[in-house]
Amino acid sequence: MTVDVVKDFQVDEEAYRRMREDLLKRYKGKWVAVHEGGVVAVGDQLSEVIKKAFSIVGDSPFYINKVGEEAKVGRRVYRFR
Amino acid sequence: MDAASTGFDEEYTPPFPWCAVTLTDPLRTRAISTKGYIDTGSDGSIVPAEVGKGLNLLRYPLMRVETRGIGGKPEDRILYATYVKVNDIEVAAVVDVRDDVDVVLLGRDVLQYMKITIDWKRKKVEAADPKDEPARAMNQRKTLSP
Repeated sequence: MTVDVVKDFQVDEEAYRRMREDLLKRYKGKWVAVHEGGVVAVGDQLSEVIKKAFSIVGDSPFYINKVGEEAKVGRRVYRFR
Repeated sequence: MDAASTGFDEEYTPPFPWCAVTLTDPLRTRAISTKGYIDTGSDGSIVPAEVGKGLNLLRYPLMRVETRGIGGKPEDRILYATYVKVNDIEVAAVVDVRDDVDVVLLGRDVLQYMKITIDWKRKKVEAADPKDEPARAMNQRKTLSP
């Protein structure tokens, strides 16, 4: 992963944190993609939001999370490993 | 999906069910086809570092999560975008690219979009698109109607 990609990802991640209160009012329970300080895609299914966001931003990185359920989707348990 | 694209890996005990999977980078410029092991116990999917490198997935970080194995220590990980295609079902997913696994593990984040049938007795695995089910049922009803 290049330094620029990491930096851009962290910028979008930070933008999501800053916008969270507003996102909670508008998009609670939805998957949201954030790019360059703005929301570029919203939806109920993660797969659909990823596809939509890439169709808009192309090769640029973005950050994605589920509004109001960050703690739940932010944990992953692997049984096999 | 024919028999050659699914199976059970007898190297594991008990045998591990798998289905053929094609992973593609988000720009659809690179693709890798391999076995995807069906890991219904995992919240998310895992891709070996070698596959991640081949698809240049580290170019597409999307999400940060805390991961752990059973009884293991939590790890802060970044997940990467990829397209996962099984049969005709394509899912855009965020996967963990790891250097401590050597197979693709399909977790519930991907499997939730499919109807997976595992018949251990007959050693048969089927992956179908749930969207096809109502149409099939309707066709059967039509056939049965007088």
